[in-house]
Amino acid sequence: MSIRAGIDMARQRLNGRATFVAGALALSFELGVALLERAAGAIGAADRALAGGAFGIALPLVSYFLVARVCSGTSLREALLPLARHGLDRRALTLGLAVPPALMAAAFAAVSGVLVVFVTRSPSDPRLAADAFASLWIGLVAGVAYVAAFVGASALGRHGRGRLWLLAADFLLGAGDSFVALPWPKGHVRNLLGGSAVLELSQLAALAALLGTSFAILWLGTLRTQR
Amino acid sequence: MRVVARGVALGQLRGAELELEPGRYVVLSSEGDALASLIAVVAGREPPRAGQVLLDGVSPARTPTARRKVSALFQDEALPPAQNVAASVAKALAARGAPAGGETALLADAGLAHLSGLSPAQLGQREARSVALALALAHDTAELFALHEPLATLVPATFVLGALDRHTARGAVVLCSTTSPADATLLGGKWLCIELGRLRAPESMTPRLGAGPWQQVLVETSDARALSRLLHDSPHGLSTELGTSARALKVSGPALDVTVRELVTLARQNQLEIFRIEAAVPPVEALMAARAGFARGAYEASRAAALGPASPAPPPQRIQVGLESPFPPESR
Repeated sequence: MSIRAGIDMARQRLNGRATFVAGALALSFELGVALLERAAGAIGAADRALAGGAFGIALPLVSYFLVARVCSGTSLREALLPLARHGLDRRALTLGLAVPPALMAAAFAAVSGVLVVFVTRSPSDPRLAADAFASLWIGLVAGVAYVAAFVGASALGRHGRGRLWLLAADFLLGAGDSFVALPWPKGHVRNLLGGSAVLELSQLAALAALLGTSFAILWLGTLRTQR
Repeated sequence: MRVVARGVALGQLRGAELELEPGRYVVLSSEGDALASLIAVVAGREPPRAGQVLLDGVSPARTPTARRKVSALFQDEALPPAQNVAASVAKALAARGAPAGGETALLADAGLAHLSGLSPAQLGQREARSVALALALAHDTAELFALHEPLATLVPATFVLGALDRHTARGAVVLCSTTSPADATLLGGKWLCIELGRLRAPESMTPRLGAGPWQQVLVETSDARALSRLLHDSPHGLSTELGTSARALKVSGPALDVTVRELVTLARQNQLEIFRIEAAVPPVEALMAARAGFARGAYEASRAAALGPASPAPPPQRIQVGLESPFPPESR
């Protein structure tokens, strides 16, 4: 009951033109970056466009935007209040609230990742299909991971400022490959895309770290909002 | 239900000790933020920063089943997101476990049928609070009603008071908070006060109104004598005292908000100008600011003394609170 109510609340809050416009802007940005990278040089253009514009910048921003919308720009606890006050479990509501933005972010990342690969690689490139498939599943995983982390971080700080702190930390600390990049999604997504690895983790370990840290932040957030 | 609060602090609320058995209670204070915090913490909206609130032994902030027995109206309200207000109310009722289909009647009974087709996002804060109050009052199995300013909404006061009477009679704890003595009088029940963030029960539980300078206002008007005559004929039992200037008037009444409303209404009807209205006793926030100012002055003086005579201490500052009174000090 509470999970379903959370899903419904998130769907209602994501309804509207702003969500569509944000998605369209982000996709345009990604494709623009992809075209520029291809114009700068075909070799490595797909990697640069995916790790930079697509999964490095657009995906975190889109995920942040979606989570901010489902939280009505405030903290997780306040976002759940309209239903939690009537006796629904906040933890279950949180899980429900995370589902629609996670699905949207995953779908956005997967589709935009595939499009970026198609733009940056020529149709005759033998690696086109493999890269498109890799972008697809990495996009799905990264979208879910980012949203989980942002939802959890929304439980921190006044008016959910934890989201913004996470976004800033992801951009600033996640850009490196030392131990300070370990808790943030960016370094692990880059590793999955074939870029530099945080603490020289394997791709399988990076996948586990990406999902592990993101869901750990979500779990901490649900603990903090209490039942 | 038994409501117990021990050393509760949240926001401007610095210490609340409560033990409420079923009945009607009104918390009256000029400290609106502390009142809002009290309702938020008692209804389980937020956990207290210190202390604990227990409803029949469990914390409402941590226990969904305890919140199910609570009906609340907060200072700022957000309705469940939906296409329109009626659908939003339906979602709230479903979350509460109430049977479907009662939303239209609920809004109509509270005189809010005109809002049912609007989007919840279109509602102003007063309208959203009105819908939330209608929802709260319709909760017939709630054992605790925690309502902030329940008479300051679009729902008619007679409807609110009737519903509160019904819930009180069936054994619920009804805890209302207000900054208005007039509303507190209407709400009735036992009175509690918040002073400087601390909740206390006054020694006498009987409301005592119009008995002191805290119910007086100083008025500067174009014709104090004419306004005084008009106020004497008012049905609210206002008394006046002319000041030394022809424009100054002191008015005493049952409650500040009643007095000010009457003053403004009479002045408007009789085309008298009012330049200033100010409480004879400054509000507690101003007194606290003044105290902080004096403390700072004392600190600076002691610091200057410790540092030696090189930098002469600034002359002590007088901090004035309120307007300059045309009445001699002994009459205030």
